[in-house]
Amino acid sequence: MNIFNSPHSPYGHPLPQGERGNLFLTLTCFPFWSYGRRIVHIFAKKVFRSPLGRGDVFLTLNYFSSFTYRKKIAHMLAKKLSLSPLAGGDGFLTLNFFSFSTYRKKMAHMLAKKVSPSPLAGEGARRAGEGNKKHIFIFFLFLLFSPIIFAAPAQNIYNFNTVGQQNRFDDLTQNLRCLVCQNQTLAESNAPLAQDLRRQIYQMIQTQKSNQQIKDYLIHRYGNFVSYTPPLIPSTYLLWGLPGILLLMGIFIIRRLSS
Amino acid sequence: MFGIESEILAMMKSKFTLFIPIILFIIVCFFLWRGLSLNPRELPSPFINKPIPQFTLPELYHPDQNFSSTELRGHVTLLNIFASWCISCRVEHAQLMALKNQRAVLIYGLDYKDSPNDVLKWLNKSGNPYERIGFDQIGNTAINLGVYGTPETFVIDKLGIVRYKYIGPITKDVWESELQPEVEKLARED
Repeated sequence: MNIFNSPHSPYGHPLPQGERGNLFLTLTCFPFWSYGRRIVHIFAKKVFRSPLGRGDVFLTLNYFSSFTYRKKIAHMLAKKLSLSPLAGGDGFLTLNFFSFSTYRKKMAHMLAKKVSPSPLAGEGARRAGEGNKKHIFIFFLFLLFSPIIFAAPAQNIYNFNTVGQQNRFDDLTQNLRCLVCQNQTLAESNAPLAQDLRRQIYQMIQTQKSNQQIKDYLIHRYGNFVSYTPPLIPSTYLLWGLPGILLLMGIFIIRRLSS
Repeated sequence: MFGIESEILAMMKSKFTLFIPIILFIIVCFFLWRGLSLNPRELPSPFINKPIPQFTLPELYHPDQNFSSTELRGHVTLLNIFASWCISCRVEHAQLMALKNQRAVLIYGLDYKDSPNDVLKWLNKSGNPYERIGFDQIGNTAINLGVYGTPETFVIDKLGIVRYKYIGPITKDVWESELQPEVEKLARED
């Protein structure tokens, strides 16, 4: 992901880091958009005042839910960027997960307009021999980029005494289903209930409960559905037996055809 | 004579193999059609026909008192898990008030992960349909009851045994078609 040191950098040569200071900001999956707003404010302030002489700004705004709010952010950023001391710098703006495609287009236009009259059309471009060509990259990376990757570390808030306990915790949470978002595991989900259940599992591991006891605890309360491994009971005979039946049928058919 | 019979048999056999795809198609259709009428999000409660799990919680209006699962005996009761932040709970609120005013059934509440100020403000403003309310601030009691989203409603018989669970807001329709028959049936039991 390090575009600065790649031969494809807008400057045509690798950029020394530090000198140009890079700022990567990823706002992912914030549940409360008001919180996201606060971060963006802080961020904008920092950039405005920052010593990033010719710095580069990566801004990833993911998953913002309020459409009007996105517009506001875009305006604000565009303003900040053009005023900022990022002379010679590059603004990378990654807006993920925008749901209105017409809006994306509009935003791109707007940013391109705002940015080009800025002092950014300076030295960097000349050094690259590109004259006054735009050296602002606006990246729109959708979907694949964002929430899952960045949301995952958020839950690593539990410290275990041994690696074994940590492994058990990972193993259990990855094999139990979140009841709220039912296609996610307890490890993946950020639903409040999943957080509570992770806490319960953590506490039970701390009190030396076995994996089976922990699973039984959850199955007792939520039913077999909570486990990704269905038990062998009459209603699941078909489920467990079907692969074998299909295999036998396959063997039977092949033998019939070959004889 | 034998020659003709075996020819007919072979013909019938080849005709039958022609029908295999359509038979498979019908079987698949049956399962897909069945899938349309299932709601995979609704999970059967493992507590049906078992006593309601033990709990003791502070009572919302009287924090010095406790509301405990042993109080859910002697009458047919509804235990409704709700929260002031839960939009669907506001949807069902009017119906719960109507049930209270008609004295259709005793409703007990379990306030799930809420702030006391918010919930008291809401109930004081729009009415309190509950006899008593357990205040479950951390949500552990709700976990013990197998709650995975608000609102959920348990129908509990006179012996304190869970007989039915409804997930989602109780509308007039839901009450009349699902819960009322259950409550009336349980009321006739000894």
